[in-house]
Amino acid sequence: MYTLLLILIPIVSGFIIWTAPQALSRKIALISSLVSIAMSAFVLSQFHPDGGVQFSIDEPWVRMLGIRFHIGMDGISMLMVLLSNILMPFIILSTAHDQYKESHLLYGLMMIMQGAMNGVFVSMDMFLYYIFWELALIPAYFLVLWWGKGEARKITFKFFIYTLFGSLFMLVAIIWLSLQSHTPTTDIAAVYRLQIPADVQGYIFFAFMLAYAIKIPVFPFHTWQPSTYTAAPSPATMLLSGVMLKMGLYSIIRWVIPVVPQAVEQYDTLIMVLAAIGVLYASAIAWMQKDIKTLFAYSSIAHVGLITAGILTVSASGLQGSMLQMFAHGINAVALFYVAQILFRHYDTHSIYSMGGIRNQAPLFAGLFLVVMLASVALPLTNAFPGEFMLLNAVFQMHPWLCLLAGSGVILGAVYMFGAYKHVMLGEATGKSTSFPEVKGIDKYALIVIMLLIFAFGLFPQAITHITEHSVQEIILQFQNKISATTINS
Amino acid sequence: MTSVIILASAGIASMFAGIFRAKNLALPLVLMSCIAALALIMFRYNGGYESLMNNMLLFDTLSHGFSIIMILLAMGVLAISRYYYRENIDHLSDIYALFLFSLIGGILSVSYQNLVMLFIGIEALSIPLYILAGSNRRNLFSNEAGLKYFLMGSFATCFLLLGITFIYGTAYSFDMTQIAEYVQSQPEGLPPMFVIGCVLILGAFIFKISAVPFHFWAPDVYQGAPTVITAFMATVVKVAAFGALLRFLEQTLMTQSGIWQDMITIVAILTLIVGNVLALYQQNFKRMLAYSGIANAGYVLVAICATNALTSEYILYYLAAYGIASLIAFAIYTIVKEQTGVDSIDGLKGLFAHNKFLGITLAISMLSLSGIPPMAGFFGKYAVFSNAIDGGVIWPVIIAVLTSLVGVYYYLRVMAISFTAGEMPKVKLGTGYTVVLLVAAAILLLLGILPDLFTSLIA
Repeated sequence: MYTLLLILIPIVSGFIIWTAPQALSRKIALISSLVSIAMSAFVLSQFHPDGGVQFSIDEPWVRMLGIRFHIGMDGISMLMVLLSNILMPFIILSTAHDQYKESHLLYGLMMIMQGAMNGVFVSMDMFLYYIFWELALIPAYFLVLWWGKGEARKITFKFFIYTLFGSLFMLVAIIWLSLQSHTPTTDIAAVYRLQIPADVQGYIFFAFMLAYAIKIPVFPFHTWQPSTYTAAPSPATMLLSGVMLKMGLYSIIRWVIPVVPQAVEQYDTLIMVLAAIGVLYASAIAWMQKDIKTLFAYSSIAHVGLITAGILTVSASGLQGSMLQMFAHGINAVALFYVAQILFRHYDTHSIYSMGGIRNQAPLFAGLFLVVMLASVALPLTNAFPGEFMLLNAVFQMHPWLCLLAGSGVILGAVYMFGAYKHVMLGEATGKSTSFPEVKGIDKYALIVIMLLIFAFGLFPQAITHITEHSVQEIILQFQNKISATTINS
Repeated sequence: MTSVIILASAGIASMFAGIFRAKNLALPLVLMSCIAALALIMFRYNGGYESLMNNMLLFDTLSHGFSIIMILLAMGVLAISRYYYRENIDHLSDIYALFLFSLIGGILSVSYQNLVMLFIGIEALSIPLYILAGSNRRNLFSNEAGLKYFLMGSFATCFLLLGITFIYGTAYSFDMTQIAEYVQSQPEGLPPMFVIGCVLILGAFIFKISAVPFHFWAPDVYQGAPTVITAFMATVVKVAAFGALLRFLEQTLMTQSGIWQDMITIVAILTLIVGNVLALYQQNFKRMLAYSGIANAGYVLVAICATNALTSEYILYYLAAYGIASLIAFAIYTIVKEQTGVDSIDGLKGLFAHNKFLGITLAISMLSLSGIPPMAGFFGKYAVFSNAIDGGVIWPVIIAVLTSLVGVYYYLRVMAISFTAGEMPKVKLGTGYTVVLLVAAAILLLLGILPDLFTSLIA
């Protein structure tokens, strides 16, 4: 029941916002997101991190195709839902000083998107999972289309077609998997039980991975991402980078590793190499960016590349590191785009060359931005450090040379991030910069809370690893059992 | 059968209403008769069979399901026709009567148990439509549409008749059960004449469902005919033709899939590719919907190539989702055309900004057609693909998936354009329109979220 509420609270409040007066929409959205946080905090307090799926609902839904409405949460789902719920209030607060046309539609869509993404994380039935997966895409599409800047129509087209292209192959794979049991079923337990012949596993693996590689995005499937992030209205960018791309990463852990382990073993190096190339490539491009939002978009590609590589090691360190880093990246990405939005509000552009010298005008803002920046380059004490360390460690143990590649991306990250910081914050204030207002009010407190979160999870990563530890082990166990079963058979 | 009689008498009564200058009575009368027929079918049917006239007609699960969907769709078309014909009502009551006669043809052609009855059903379905397609006498395109539909339709009729003759010549019977027995009694292979007969009949069906290679008439006829008639052709007629095709395959050729499976597979793949790719290049909204209709026939054909016991339910679900979504699209096209005078897709600019209700219903319809959850169209595609993969048909499904991506492209283009800024007056909708759009959009959502509802209603 709790799980259902976590999906329903945002979706229902989304519909309420649509019908309520526009002046109230932000308030309702904020209240609903706070209720979601309270709800998830309560659920967390009831949660036993023993690797089992809890708070389940399992009802028949479409009988003739064996589809069940099966939701529930293990540690991994719990963490993802926590992330999406924690980020939501910040995303809503970040819009406090902006005016959007038809803002009730905007907030309504955001809430529905949140609900759908929570649904992705808690679905324990493949069909249901796919429904939520696509459902999350529709609000994202409208958010970018209706409030986006520049060539929004063309960009959303590319975004939508691209992501749907991947999903459709996943759909075929889901249908195929559902037909392998005696009676058609899409339930997670039945899918996990399947022993899929080795030659088919490859097809299933690539059908799933294509969808996820596009969503995450992994090089070379990333081309939709920078333009979409740049064109999208700021709250939509935050939703996309903070939560939506985690859907892809989460899905690899949930639906690929335990289902087609042999294919994972066979092809993991390929994907890891692509991910590592992505880290380097995106970092190099980010270095050259003049548009701060595009820069953050590319830095996001670099970060998720490393997470993808870590996940595919299927080691405790890699998976736990990915958990930490997904959580950290969510918070940091929202913080970065929050900062970008504050800058945009004053300058009316994202170009870093029109900025500069803000430090003198707004020291507090400069300080907060510095913390966010340090977190995003994974300095020790910040939330990204433990995760990044574990990920690099996991990759190193599998392929030391890949770790070298991906690791240099991390160094590059520091280069371009500090370069951007220098352009934006340091130097002499000229032109518009002389009148840059110090951050205050909602923005100030929101950023301070984000800063506290950054340090809190940097100092106490075990708060996260504690939740996910046993569930991660379950996944690895499932993976290893299947691998050893097939080696015995052969 | 009672429902057919009710519909027929309502049609005749509607014609008389025209003579006695009581045209305003015609629509309520026609709609009431549809509701009565629908109620009769839904409540009197309890899973049994009703065989009539020396086994000429058989009302069973398949025919009931298809009839219900056809009557519902016809009601939707009739309800929006009130607005469409609000100024030009010269022959209104005759038009309604023709609608009903065509609907009766549809019901007969999904309930036949005898090839002669199939012929009567298909003709009763088509002949009123030849008239209706050309009913806008002062419009050249409408005249062209009527003539083209008639000429092409006659060819299809020839195929059908010739095919029936060939089958009679070998099996010595028009009766489906006896033909099936004949097929069973020829284990070492059927005579070529019988096979040719089957191929000819299938050709006629391919024409009626506007699948490639007999699809050329559809875009021109759809574009030229008055929009309400187009909506009727694209929805009711297609459902009827698929019902008839399914019945023919299931009852006679089930065991002889060698005759038709390859043929249908090739036709399905061609239809998917040609329909979807050509729809991409359409600027005219109605023409695009015509190609979308062709493409959607392709998806259903994919399910048919893997036919097994479950298929007809899935296919009906798919057709219902397609029909309802198309109905919305045609309804909105009519409004936009009247308001702006533009019949290209670009004419939809500003629809959402100035008419929220229309914008949202159009979005729901387009999302459903492109198969995005949680709309009914998604589950329809899922069921159809699932059925096909279960039957071992993998490659056509992969092609269908790829072409459905092309479909997403042109459906979303319509939606995206309707969401861009533009000038459009605020439209005052009639009650009939609002109700149809609202109900249709609600059904698309409801069926998508609770697909089991459909099966419990139909089966």
